[in-house]
Amino acid sequence: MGEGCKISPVAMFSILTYWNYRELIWNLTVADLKIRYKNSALGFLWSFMSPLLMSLVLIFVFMQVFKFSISNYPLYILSGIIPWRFFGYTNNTMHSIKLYSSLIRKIYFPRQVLVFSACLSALISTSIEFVLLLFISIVLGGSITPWILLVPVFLAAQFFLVLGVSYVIAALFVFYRDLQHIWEVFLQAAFYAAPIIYPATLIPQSSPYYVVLLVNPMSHFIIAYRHLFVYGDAPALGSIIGIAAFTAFAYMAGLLVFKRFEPRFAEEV
Amino acid sequence: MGPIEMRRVSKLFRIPHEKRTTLFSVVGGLLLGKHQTFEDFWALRDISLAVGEGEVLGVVGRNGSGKSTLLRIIGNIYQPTSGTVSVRGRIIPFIELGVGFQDELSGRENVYLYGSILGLPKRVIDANYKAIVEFAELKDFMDLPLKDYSSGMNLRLAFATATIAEPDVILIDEVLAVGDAEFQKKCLDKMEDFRRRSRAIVFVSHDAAQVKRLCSRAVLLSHGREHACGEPSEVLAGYARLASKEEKGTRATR
Repeated sequence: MGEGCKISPVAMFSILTYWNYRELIWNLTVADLKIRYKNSALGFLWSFMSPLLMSLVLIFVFMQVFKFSISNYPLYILSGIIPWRFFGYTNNTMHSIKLYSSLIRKIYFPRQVLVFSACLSALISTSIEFVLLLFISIVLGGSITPWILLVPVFLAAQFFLVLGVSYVIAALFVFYRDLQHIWEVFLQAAFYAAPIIYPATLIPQSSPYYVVLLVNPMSHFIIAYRHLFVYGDAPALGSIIGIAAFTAFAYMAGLLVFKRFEPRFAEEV
Repeated sequence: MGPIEMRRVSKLFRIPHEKRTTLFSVVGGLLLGKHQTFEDFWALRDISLAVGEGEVLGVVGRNGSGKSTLLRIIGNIYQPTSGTVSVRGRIIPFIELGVGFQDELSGRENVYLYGSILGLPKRVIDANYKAIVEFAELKDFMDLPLKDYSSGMNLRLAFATATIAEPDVILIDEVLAVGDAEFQKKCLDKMEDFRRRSRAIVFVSHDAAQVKRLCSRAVLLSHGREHACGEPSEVLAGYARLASKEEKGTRATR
């Protein structure tokens, strides 16, 4: 104490913190999942119905109205939307500090565990949705090969990306209430700036939009997941390295920002 | 060195005249070149104190004198602006009503959640669960969601859960005032029990009788500064004098 502002390498990495507080993290995660699904008996079911129904709308619009002719378009779109949803959970994880404001004002514990458990509960929901995607892929004629075993690796990488981003927005949301509206718009833009409903090849490489597509980390995740869930082959090595590097950066940077704001949470929430 | 040691601790709150709570207003302020202005408020000024094992320190003072800030700094919830604080061992704070349970979850689920916040392993909670429910006198309510609890029930559950934690340092902020007389007595007994087992307790209270009964030493805060420190009865007498003097002062200015 007293030197709480100094950031030791261990504190920065935070891995030890997660381990020491694993029971708290797990209890918070379970609490989060319970509250999310408890209020309606159909809550659990709805969480899967909503991506399916949303995909149906998009499939209709783009096949019937815009006459997209991508082979197996329904599977194409679902294999984009379900991985996207993991990133979309940042809309919830943003609230993780604010939500526990009464706790933060009364007792000390490393505040990272709140964000970590919110992301963990998003990971669990996503994992279940991925199992669903696997079945959908089999039914809709996707090619499932042993490459599918790589999915957990990408899921873990995406978890750290979501965690890094959540650290930043959860910390900022304590101070700035309009962030949730800004973030909603940002997410909407990022959704269309990733090859979810259209293929990346549709954008000419000379176009500035192609650059946007390239710098959007979710583009690379979605393309990689499609290789595993739909085409049954290996994602490009270059994009795997890119994903790993960017994820590590996002996590470290996010944690650094978070630790900088953390001492002021109790005074602000 | 004792469990709690504070050296020359000060805490400054910078209260903005116009609070910017949106990114929009921050960006707008930057674009218009408007600087934010602050009102400086020293909640604590130059406080040094130590609490030894088996010692109960009473903290008295009027509202806004810095009592709660002091507890929050000892509890590592606020960072001091200057000075050093060292606290040894597990801290159990009782600051404000309840302890920030989850309203949607049942009493039982909250015991486990709160227990893990205090750093208690699940097996310890399992082993003590019955004792917690008994102490809290909430046997028939453990499956109800917490939002159906009264504030007294909420406090009882928090207190009961925390007492199994074998804390080294206990911080109490007037919360005992909510329970009924019988529960208050139970809590005070528990406090004496902790004191006998050489824990360090910091006790903020308006109740002179409680301070006299429980505390071995007391400190009087006034506008963030230490006004008096020593024998509880003397400090309480000083508090009474200060209160009547300040009251006269405010009357005179009216």
